[in-house]
Amino acid sequence: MRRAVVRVLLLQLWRDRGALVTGFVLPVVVFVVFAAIFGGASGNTLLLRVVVADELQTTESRRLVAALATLRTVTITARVADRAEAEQQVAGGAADAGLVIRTGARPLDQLAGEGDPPLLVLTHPARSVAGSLLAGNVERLYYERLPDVALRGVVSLVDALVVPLTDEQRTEADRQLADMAPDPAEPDAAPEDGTTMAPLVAQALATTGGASIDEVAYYAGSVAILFVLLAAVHGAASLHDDVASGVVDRVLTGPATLATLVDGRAIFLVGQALLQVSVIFAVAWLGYGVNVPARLGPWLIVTGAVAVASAGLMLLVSVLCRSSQQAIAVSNVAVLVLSAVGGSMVPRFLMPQWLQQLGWLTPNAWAIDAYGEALRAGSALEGSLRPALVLVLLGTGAWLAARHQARRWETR
Amino acid sequence: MSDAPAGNLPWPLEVTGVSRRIGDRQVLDGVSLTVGRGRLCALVGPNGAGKTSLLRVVSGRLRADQGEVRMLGQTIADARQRGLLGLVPQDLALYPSLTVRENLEVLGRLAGVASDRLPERIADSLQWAGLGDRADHRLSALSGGMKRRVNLIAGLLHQPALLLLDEPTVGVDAASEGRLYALLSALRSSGMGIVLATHHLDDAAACCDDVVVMHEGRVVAAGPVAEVVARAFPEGREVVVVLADAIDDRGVAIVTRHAFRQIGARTWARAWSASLADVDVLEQAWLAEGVQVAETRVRQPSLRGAVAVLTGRAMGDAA
Repeated sequence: MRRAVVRVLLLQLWRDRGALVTGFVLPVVVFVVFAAIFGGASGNTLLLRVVVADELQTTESRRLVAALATLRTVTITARVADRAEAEQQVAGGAADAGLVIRTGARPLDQLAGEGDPPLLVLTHPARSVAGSLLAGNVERLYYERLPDVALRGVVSLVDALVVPLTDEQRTEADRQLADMAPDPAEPDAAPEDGTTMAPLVAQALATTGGASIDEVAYYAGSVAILFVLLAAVHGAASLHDDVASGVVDRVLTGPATLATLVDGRAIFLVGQALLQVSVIFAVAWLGYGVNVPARLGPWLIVTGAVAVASAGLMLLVSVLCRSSQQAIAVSNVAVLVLSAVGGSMVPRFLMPQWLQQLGWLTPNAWAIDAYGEALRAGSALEGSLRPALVLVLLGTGAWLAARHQARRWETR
Repeated sequence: MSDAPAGNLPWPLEVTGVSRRIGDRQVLDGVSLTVGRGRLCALVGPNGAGKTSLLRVVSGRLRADQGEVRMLGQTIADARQRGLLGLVPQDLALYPSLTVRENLEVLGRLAGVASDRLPERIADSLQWAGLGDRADHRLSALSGGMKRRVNLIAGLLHQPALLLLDEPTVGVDAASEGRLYALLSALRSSGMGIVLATHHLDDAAACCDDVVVMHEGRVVAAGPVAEVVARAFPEGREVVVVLADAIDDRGVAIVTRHAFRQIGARTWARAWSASLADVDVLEQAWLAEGVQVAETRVRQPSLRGAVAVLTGRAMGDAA
């Protein structure tokens, strides 16, 4: 009897082109878009448009601006006279951030003492991350590309706070630091090796198959759970259509029960989810090199768990509603909220801590975590088993609750 | 209501003292009835009389607060398990995007028909209903009458002993309606007990063996159609008058004072045992009070009239 229910849903899906496109084409399109954005060459870099106001116009300030212009991730869109003009550019959106080398502040080569900092970074509230990136870059360039200026600051700091220098020592320091400065004829030239400060921080990628591959795998998982849930909405809500049309009245005169209709739908939704996820990861494998075959076992376990969770949850939401329209509306809203909180739209590490914690209440977070573990080269099977188990328990519990709730409709 | 079954065979349907209250409304109030083998029983009454509620209790979808329902001596739960009951809902309880055959395959399986028997049952049913050449057409492509026939045979695939139909002819033309009643007559001949909730009283009178008249959750009359009509019209005939003009409240008071009931916009009727000459006297009296009669007919009482008398209200259009 359950097979009969599965057959109805299969035939209805097969003959509904809109549902086929929504269920199997749209997820692939969305995944490809995400993969192109986050998995491509531009995925690891953020290009900043910067406006510069060098109010100081000293050799050192010009050297700093010149150093900034050499960065691959920064484009100086305008050089303006003062802070007010720079603020206009940033506020108007012509630049992501602005750098002002200020007059009336501490000199560039003084790290101690009174006065405002010599450098001011301007940011727009909507692009505040651009300001942080620019500030980091400027500080790095100061120490790497203007080491003589930075060391003069350090000497003045030592003189003021640590050990007072004798006149002789000061004179010698000035001489040595003057030698470190670039030729005044070529003030933009970078210091030679050995005359710059060694960087304090190095950066390395912690990935298994390359940064872009891992990001593609991440988005394959997040898009998969989002669309598996969305596609389950209509199949689950169709129980209400059977009630409204009288099919349930007819069926309940025989040996079948509403649990039969729920079970049949659960089987169909699990099958539909398995197929959907397979299509998405096939594209990830063939188009973007995510090595699914090498991790087939863990991937299958996680995919099965995702399918069970999506089917159970959507059936439960559906039977808690009073009509097909209500079930579809409520389910769609629920899926979008779960997906937003659970990391299907924006990576969770970008969210505030409380929202990241809240994410663990969503199947999306567990599914993304499970796929991350399952596809990470060299990871142990146990890593993906825990989130998969959570998903299976969630789905099974929801399915049993949906069965129980549906049977309450049988007799009023 | 029906003749007692032969020997000690139980009734296909036996409802005893069934009551059900929903909210502050008593939708069924001590309903009792029986339906015999090979009997076609019409369940009639105005909207809200309790017809559909009774069908829902019999099919197990509505719990009775009191009373008992038995089918061939079985409880509802046992009857469901044994496939004794078939239901043809008022709406088309079918899947529009599936073909006729696919619909019947799915609903047949859900009704408990073994998959190896199903193809033969479907083929026979389609032939019987005159739909043999439409088996592979999508349901959405069929006419309203054909859909109704598919709706009917979908409730018969498991060969139930009792068939419940709720307004099976809603929205079909006269020819299709006639064909459906012909199919029901054929089923009756096979020994099936059939209960049909309907507003089509003329068809019910022509095709049904028994009638159960319901009003406000109670059975107000039950038995063979002729008996129920005779009970409503012991005088044996009915007078119908058509007024020349619409009447105001004063006119209504005059007409109802003589026990006429309204059955149409300007049409009124009542049972009549006096001589026909007395009708002329009545007309003259009304005319003197400003109520003019355009036409007078004397007719044999109908089930429509009987139901109106028994429930105290008009049913559908004027006769």
